[in-house]
Amino acid sequence: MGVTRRDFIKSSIAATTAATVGLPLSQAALAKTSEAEAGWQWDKAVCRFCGTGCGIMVATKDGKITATKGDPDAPVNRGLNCIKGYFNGKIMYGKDRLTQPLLRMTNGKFDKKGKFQPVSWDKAFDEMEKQAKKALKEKGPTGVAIFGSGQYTIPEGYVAAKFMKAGLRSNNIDPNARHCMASAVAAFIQTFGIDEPAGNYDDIEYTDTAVLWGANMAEMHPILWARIVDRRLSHDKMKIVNLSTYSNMSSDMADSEIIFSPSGDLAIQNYIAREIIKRDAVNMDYVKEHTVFATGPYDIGYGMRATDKYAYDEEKDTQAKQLKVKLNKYEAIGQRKKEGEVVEQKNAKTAGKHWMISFEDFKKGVEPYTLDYTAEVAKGDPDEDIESFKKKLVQLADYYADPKRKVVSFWTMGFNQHQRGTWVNEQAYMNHLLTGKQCMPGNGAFSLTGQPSACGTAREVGTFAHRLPADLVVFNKKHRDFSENIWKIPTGTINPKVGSHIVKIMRDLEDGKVKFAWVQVNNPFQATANSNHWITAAREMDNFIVCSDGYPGISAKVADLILPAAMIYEKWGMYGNAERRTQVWREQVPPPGEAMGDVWQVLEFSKRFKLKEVWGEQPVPGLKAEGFKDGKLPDIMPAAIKMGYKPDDTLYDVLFATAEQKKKFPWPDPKVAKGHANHIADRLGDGWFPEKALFEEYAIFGRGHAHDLAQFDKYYEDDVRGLKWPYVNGKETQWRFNADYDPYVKKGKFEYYGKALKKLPSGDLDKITNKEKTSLAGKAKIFFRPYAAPVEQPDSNYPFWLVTGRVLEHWHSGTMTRRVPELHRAVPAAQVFMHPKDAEKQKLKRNDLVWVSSRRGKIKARIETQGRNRMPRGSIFVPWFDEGVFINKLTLDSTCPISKETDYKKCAVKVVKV
Amino acid sequence: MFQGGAIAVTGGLGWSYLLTQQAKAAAFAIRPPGALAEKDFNATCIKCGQCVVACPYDTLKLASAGEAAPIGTPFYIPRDIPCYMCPDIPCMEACPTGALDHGLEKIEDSRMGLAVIDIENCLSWKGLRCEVCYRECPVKDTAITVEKHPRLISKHAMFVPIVHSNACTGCGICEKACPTEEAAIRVVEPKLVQGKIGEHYRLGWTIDTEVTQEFKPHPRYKRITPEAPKTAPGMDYLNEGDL
Amino acid sequence: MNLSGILVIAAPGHFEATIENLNELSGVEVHHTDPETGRIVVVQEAENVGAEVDGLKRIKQLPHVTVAEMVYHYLAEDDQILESLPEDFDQLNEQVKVPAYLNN
Repeated sequence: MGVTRRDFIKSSIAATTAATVGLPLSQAALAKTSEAEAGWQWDKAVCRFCGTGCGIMVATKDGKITATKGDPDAPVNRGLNCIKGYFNGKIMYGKDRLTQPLLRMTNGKFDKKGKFQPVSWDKAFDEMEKQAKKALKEKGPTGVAIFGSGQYTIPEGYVAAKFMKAGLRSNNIDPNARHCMASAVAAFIQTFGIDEPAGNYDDIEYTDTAVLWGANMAEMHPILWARIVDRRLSHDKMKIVNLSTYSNMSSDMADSEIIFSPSGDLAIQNYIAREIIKRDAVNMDYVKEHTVFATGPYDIGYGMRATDKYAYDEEKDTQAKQLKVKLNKYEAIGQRKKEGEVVEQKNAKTAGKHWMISFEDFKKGVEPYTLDYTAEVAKGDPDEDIESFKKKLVQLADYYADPKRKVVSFWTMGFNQHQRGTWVNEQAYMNHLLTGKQCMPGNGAFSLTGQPSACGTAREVGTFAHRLPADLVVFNKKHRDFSENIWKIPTGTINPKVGSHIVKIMRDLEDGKVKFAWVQVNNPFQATANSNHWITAAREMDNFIVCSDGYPGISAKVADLILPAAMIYEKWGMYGNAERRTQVWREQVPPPGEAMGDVWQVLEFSKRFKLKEVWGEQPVPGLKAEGFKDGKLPDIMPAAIKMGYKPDDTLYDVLFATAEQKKKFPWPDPKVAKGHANHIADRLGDGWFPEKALFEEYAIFGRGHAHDLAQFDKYYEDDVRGLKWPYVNGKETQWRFNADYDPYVKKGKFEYYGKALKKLPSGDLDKITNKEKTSLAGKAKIFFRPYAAPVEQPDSNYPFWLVTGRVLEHWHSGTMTRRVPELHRAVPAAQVFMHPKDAEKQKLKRNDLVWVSSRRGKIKARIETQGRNRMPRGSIFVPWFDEGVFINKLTLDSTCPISKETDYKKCAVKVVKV
Repeated sequence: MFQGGAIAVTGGLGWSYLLTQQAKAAAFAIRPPGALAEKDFNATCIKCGQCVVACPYDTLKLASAGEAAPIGTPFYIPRDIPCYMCPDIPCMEACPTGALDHGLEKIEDSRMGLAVIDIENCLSWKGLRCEVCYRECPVKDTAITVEKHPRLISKHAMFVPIVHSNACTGCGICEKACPTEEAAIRVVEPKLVQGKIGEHYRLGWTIDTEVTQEFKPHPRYKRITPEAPKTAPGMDYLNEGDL
Repeated sequence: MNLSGILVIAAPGHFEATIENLNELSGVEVHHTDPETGRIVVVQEAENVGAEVDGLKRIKQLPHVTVAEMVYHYLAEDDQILESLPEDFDQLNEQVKVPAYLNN
């Protein structure tokens, strides 16, 4: 070895010397290089990271990824990547990759306080089975939970959801996508009756205006931003407006930057609506034909716990506002009430209810949102002159109101992670619907997603606590029947009671209601706000946490059992991006060591459950539904036996590897596989192709219901670069609800055919006056939603706003990108972005170490006063990728009461020098 | 841990990279902020190491035999640890001799070197959305800006970073952060890479020259009769050699 | 132990002969050659700095060598250090069963 090493150094020296003097390497050396590349096999795939969904080409040789490149044929990115995408090939090869199941043990036995030690898969599943069955016995189906993901592949999400909902009959599966776009979903369903955007990325090349609402696209959707900037450079009329609570990278190309106060966006949207009305710019034909007006209650709380039983003393004042809020001056005006009025939050549990109102009432609702009022409540930079701020608001209203100007509104976490997230999403549709600028090339409100398959898996597959595939919901009897029919399981299997959303699963752990939780494809213990509570609950209480992961992150460290997971190109997969485009890849390389794909982990675990263990009568506390005994799921064993099942059949036999599925979708499948392996099919060894079988079964839900996906094999064809659903008669749908493009539109130019929540009572701005429900089939709703102030605001103890978010270089909690040395080196640690004057006032210098603390926790980090994010005075920004700067210890677990999505953008903190 | 990761991931290339860096460093030693011109610096620096002790980031080190700078003098290698530009410049404050000139008031005015982009290997110049150097630059928007222009072969824009020598301090944070296998932006001695347009021409679209249309009469002056020249331009050529 | 990367330029017409001469010198290995420009890259191994400089002089004095300059210089205190550096390099490629992070 010594000789080899010395030779190696020598050849390095020689190469360096040659390079330094510009000596070309010998032909032999060059030939060697191209010979090596000739052995590479290239195949199409998708980027692992954000919701943009860029195409990637992956080269492999001898079971290793040798290189990647942006796919020149991918319509999204045309060969380009951002700096994360550039490193796709390296994310699987970090030094501390998990390769064996690890269990906390003492003397060879599970011990919650023990140290992690390697165990076999069998031993891992033995312990998991024991613990899950213990939880089920003690608590029923609600005693177990899965933390799911918007980074699940489609088969992964489907297998997990079906295992929970049809197998264990628990609805406690909820994805981290809840933290990401639940508000977008709630607004889609409430406004259109069907989820997901109407437009597609080509809107960028058709529009005249891109309005960014709380979406720092320059960093978070870098490739889409390149398309927007290209449009700005090549189309004279194009304008970009960047609305944000601080100045970010997207402002660099913006024609107008509007820095607004936290929650000031609610007022600005209403101001625009008022202007549209005042200027007579309402597209009355469109509004009459395709929309109705609606509103809902204002006293909906802030998605916090209703009790202070678990709150730290410091937290109690904020928590109390969940029950009662004293209206400030601006809320009073915006809600037509009196300043100082104490409002009991009576509709906290019925936040989503709404009713139709008249256009006259709608006008009354937006009337208080004058320019003066809006500027006063919404101006976010104390150093900006109010007149200049007003000018920008007027100009923004001009853009929306001008019938000749096409407008696309983009938003992501600024709107979605918002205590009134559903409201503010609905307000975006309000202005597009009032002007008729919706569902047309270059015109529309476009909700972007953060995760690679938040749309494709979390939403479309339905890995939420209330959802079933293709927009169906557990609390609707017809939807349950439909699903039980496809799944060939007895009526009454599916639990009609909505499960716990992801924040509530954490609270359930703290309450002792959930005793067994499985973390899949996400890092919830770093990602959930107010995390000190949940980490303590997981480590100190009697429960069992399983974490499937590729790398050890905080959730792995918190867990009792760690399962090594196959990562992106080590398994077959499919993702769906933000423009409804479903894209696929084949298994390119084998997973390292004992690591296995998540699909296999769920399938293998499902073999551990016999029907008689889970399909008997089950307690579900609080269950009340037609056809069900209170608090009980029925014994469905007799019905199951009638269907030909046996009590000793396992969930694997009944739900997944059925004779029919095995026959229809055999493995090997050379036509699709083209020589690629499938480690999951091989290890199962019973001759079926699980990913294909799961996908085709799932696709049955959507076909014929405006969610049509293509055949599995179609996506794998060489010339296909993803397909936008609904895919009908061999054609993608470019713009939904528009007769020119969408085959589901049956009458008129536009039809909002979504079926959910399309029968409403009616009333005025404050209440329902006529309980009788009227149908609004084919129409969208224009909501009036008022201004409401953030629940926790800076005061003398905690004088700063804290905003959290991401940076371009890192993905979420950094478990992957921080394993790429180049990305880690580029941005090694999270900084505290602060206005230089705020720093100076506290005698802080750039790079000083500071403590940042809130009512809930504290972290240490360095100050940055002149970096990529330029804060207004009174506000700081801290990114969340860095577990060393564990910012979610500080954030407030307040959610939008309708969508249950956490607001990571608004809480109060103080900053003190270390 | 991550340094180790770098070697594990890039394999042999990681190691040759370290060697290369050493070779490159030999050409030019980057001195701490406020350093006098190299010759004066070497004459004034007493090699006491106080600046090294004062540096809170372990950026600075004293040269040992075979390294970039004369033995015992302070320098740093940005790809290892760059200068993080402390506003109070503790290294300079610690210098007892003025080799690090105490006249430097703002760290932004220091000129330790000049960042130069290798546009052949810069990802952003290829069209990728990288621009890490720009975002990490402590004097971003002045020392590094990003120019946008259409990519032309697709509907994307290019985001091209440009370094401005009038504001670049040479701190090397960009070089440290650059994600390519070998940094595509590096701090070098300005003289090695900087060109000069020449005094005889001004760029027409810049505002640094005042254009005036006020034609004033020249002041009267006495005509001096020159002595008859012994040689005149061109004489040599005209008189020598055959036709 | 010192390793140096040296650029040698041979006079036109004497390229092959120079390579032969270089190969005969102890501690010298020819790594890259470019006949078109007469350039040769060699790596020289020497016990210490003195031997390194003498070695270079030796090359300069070879017939038909027009240029011999040290381009790259690598210094290892002794063999042990040289051997120990890449030792890490090998270990880093090995998988760790339980990352230390989890149990700390």
